[in-house]
Amino acid sequence: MTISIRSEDDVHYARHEGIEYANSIGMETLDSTKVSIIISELAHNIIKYAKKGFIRFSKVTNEINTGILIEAIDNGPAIHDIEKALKDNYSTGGSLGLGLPGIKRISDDLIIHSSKEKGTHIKVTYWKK
Amino acid sequence: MSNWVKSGIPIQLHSQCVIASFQLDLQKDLLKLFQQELLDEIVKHNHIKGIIFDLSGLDIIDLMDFEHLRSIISMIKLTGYDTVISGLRPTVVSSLIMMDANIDNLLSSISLDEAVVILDTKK
Amino acid sequence: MEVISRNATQLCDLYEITKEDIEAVREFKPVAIDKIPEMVDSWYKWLKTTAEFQEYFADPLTLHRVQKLQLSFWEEFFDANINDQYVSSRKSVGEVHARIGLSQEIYLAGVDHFLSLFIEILLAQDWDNAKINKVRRALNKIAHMDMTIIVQSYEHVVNQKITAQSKTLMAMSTPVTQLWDGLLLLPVVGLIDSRRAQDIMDNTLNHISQHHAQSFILDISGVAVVDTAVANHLIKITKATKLMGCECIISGLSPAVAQTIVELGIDVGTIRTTANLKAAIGIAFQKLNMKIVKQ
Repeated sequence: MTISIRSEDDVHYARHEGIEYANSIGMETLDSTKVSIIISELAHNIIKYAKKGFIRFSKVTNEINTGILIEAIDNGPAIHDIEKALKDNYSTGGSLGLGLPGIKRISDDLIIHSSKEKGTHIKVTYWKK
Repeated sequence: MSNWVKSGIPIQLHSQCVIASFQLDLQKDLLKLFQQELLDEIVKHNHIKGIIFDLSGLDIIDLMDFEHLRSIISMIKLTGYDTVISGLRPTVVSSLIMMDANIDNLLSSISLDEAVVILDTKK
Repeated sequence: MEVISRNATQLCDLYEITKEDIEAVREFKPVAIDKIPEMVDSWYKWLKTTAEFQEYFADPLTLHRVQKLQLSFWEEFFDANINDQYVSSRKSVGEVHARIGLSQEIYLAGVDHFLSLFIEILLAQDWDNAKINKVRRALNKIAHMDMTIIVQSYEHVVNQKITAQSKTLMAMSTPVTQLWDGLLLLPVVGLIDSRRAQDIMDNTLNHISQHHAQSFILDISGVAVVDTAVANHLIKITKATKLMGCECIISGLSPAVAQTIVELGIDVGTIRTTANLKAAIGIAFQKLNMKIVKQ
């Protein structure tokens, strides 16, 4: 499912859909809450840095477990120093800005592709606990 | 500085507190004059509890003025006294917070009475 | 949400409606216009079979008005004077539908009904194939443009309705109450976005100033998710109350919320937080130099 993110209302909508989706693949309340927080952080980052973009989620499976892959895609300014952005207390947005390290702690896998030409593409995987 | 140039901000002594009541909109020059007058006044006294800035008369405080007030409070601190800011209006507070004003290490109170109580407990 | 609004010329460009198309439709007009009252009757028969009929068209007066509107609607259609006035007349159709709550389904089905009748008439003419095709294509283009304008304005009104509703909800949802002299309480339920956070802040500050409150409890047990954005708003609200000279205590942090706050790496600084309202009231009374005593 892909959801366009342009305003705060879209963030709430994406979060809502994310919870539904997490429930539909058999996640419990604590898991779906975490999924919704990941979506919320990613979507807020899109608005703050890129103004608009997309949130996408899909189901992932391996031999033993099911999970959700959450992607954030935008064409905004690239993240200059990805390693630095993953450290606490790094923000260029003028607020708490702790989104990325927080997401890394909550999720199981976090991959960031970011370049001036292609924009930013963040992939977060969260496995059912 | 000439003697007859004054900031126009009244500085009074009440319940052993130095109270400065701001009425006119703040300006850089005005604040500089006031800063001098206030510090002169403070060192004259021996037995005061602290200083109160009554800001209830102000409709607007921009970030620059606010920073200047903060620096005056730091200067007062160097003379050994605490300063309580009192009576900020809701709209002023709301806009200061929106502009991300730094409010760390500030004492504030809702009314003059409350400000005196705060200075009492600080003593 | 921003809606791209096109004027008449831009719409014609979008649907590639050319002068030839307009001429083709106008040429078809004398043939079709005579049949329109008949078609409206046929449409009316069809409408009678739908569930919406009883709800919207049962009143003979309303029905009569709607039939007249249908006539002028299609007359305008065949005149094909596509200018801004034409567009705004289409827009108002959509707005009316949205306001009375007539579904898009019934409207679109109705248009389709008319369109198939037109095609029927068109095919009955002894024109050559090329001409028939041209008129057919032109009818399609303009009808589709009409539908888009109407659907879009419908959507616009629905969005406005939603915005209005959420505004009302928000206004109701910051009930600052006085618990004791100098002690205010605000329970927050649901979502906190930047609009609502601003509402809460303004409302709270005004109450603090009115009641000369020295303590303020913000109970967030009704807030399901605290992410970085929400935490940011809460921190700002507490900063603001502090600047007013009023201590803010945030109560009702559930174990799940406490966990996510730490995991997200949010530093709440010196803000007093408690697990439940009881503990918060205890702290506030202590600050007010008061004590609850059992009689």
